[in-house]
Amino acid sequence: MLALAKICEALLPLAYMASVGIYALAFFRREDVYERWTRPSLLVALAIHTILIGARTSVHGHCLVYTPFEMMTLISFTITLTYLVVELSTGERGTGVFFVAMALLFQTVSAMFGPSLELYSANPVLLNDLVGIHISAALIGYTAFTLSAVYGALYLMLFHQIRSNRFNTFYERLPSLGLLELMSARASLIGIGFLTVAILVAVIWMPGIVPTFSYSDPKMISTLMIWFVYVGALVARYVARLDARKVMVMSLVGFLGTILSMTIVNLLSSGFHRFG
Amino acid sequence: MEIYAIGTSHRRAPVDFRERVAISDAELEGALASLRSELAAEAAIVSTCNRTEIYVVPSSDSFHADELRAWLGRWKGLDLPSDYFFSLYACGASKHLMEVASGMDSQVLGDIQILGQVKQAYQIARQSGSLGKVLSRLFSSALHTGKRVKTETDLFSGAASISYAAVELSRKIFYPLTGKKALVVGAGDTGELTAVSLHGQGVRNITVANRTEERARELIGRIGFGTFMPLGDIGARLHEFDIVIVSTGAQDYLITYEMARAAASRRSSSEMQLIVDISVPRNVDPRVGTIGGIFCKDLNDLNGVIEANVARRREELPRAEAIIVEELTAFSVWCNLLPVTPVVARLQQRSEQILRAELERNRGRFSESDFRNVEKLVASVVKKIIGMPMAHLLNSEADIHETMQKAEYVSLLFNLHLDETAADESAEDDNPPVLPSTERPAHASIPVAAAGGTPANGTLRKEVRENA
Repeated sequence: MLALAKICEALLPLAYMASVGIYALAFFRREDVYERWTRPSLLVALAIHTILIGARTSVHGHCLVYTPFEMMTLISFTITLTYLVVELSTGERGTGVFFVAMALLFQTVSAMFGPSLELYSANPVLLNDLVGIHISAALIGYTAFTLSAVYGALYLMLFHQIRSNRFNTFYERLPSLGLLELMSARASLIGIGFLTVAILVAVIWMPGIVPTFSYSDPKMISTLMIWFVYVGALVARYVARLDARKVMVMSLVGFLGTILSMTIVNLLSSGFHRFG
Repeated sequence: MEIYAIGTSHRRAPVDFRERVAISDAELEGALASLRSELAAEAAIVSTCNRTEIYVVPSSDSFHADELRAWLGRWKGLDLPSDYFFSLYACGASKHLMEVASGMDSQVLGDIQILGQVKQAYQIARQSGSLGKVLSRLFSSALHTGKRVKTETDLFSGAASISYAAVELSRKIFYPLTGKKALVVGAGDTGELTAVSLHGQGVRNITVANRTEERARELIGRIGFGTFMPLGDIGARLHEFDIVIVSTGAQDYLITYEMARAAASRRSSSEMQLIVDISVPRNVDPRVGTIGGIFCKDLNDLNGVIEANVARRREELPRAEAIIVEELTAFSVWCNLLPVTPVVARLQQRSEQILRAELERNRGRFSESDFRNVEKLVASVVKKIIGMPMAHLLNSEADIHETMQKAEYVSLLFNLHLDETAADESAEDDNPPVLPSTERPAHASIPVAAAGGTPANGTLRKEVRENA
């Protein structure tokens, strides 16, 4: 099983890269031959990802939510799966290249910085149910923020295209500004909801479960900051009626904070969030 | 393939000439009847603002295409210069109609309207009884080609007119478009087209502003929706509208920078506003585009959209041409097989008659269940036996004279001349007979289309399957 996991781990970035390439060709060249291969390529990547998650779960003996890098591979998986559902239900493939690229980014970071499969061992504290809820909620929240960021980036790109009279492929293929804004806001809202659950569980119950719990943990602080950025962006949009473009920038700032929180803070800090 | 086509279009003749030779819907039936009585066994006319084209299968062997132009001259009472006309024959005529139906020959490349216009021409010709097997099949193939080009390529996608480009821009900004409020300033043709396009996209709240109330009300009456607003109210009410389309002949700015700025300050900063100025000279101060929350586009900007779309459509031409080659090949195969179809139909009918007669004669010798089995067995044997001559007759690759000679032999061998009339009536449908699958010759392949040179192996099989 360890060998299978290793093979899948090596193959997965390649499969995602191939899928991103095919989606990009379909987006820019708009030829049937590429469009026909978009979904199969994504299904191949998703199948390898599923096998990897299954194999790693089997190797470790628990769900993959116990290190940030495991979470990243799950976020990557969730993004791909969510996008596939959207594609199947709407038939819209115009945003595929961006979502699959995002999944590739998360998977690559996970594969590059995650602990090696042999050296890995999970802290027993992570087997607690409340910790499971905390981690799962954070995982879904971060995935929603990722989706929000992709929509936000596409919004800014399309806005710039229209402003500067560049009516090229992006203008033709992307959905409307209004729809991108709506999707970004909805994804943010979902992200805030789940991150709120993750934070509340952490603040209320974690001190009793995790002996080394600290309110000054860098991950804790960065997560709260991210939460404030997203809540601020939504308040600015719906209460203060701020220009949508500025809200999208705030959303992207929040997403960058998410990336920083999950990578640099984990690499540099030695707080209680390091379990691997 | 005895198909002739003559015509004139935007490629060859100026608009005033095209207007004079156009055949109106009211004239069409009479014109088709006249063509049939004078020149043609089959006839169809495609007449739009950009083209008048006549397609015929001549009734006489000595027919010449010039006779068609002469007929049109007589019909319209005009002297028609030959420079303004094209004249096509056989594959050239068929290919041209397919290109027309696919929007490839339109003034605006990929003009979607032409598909409907060709369909209408086909329906009128069919209703007036001027279509026979050949033109009926040709028009069906052309319409099928047009639909394939529409669904399999992007030749029809994107806006190619100013009014539609303005509406497309609205669709790229707002979601959903249905709840948005639109103001159309100017009651001219462009204003009308834009209002109709916006309404077509679901915008229900449309206000028309114009200097003269009467013209605005006329426009509202014509399109059947919208409310009137005096031109002088624009400044006070500009903030109410999400989409503003300005198309007037005014010489000054109707929407000034100050006016737009005041309107923007009364709108929430989260609400975007689109102002499109398609007037010459401009009626909206260009500085309006610098105000946050306002997208301001003029004619030059929209021309950019159109140019980009037309360039993209041009890139689709090779794919559309490939579809035309495929369809033209299929049509050519059908035409090549057409002369032998009566013989094949008679052969099928003759064998069916013999089979039925023999079965009925021996019915009493079998039980009901045995009879059904014998019936199936004999039908299968007969099908295989007649399949052999049919395979030779339906070989689309063979020389037509050789095939006709074979058809004559088959007629003699099977005594098919005796019951010619009845069988010919049954062969009057548009489809060639179906070759029994076991008897299809292995060497039967499709000739390379003269127009494109793409071999289309399997096209006949596909066609035969469809016909089955």
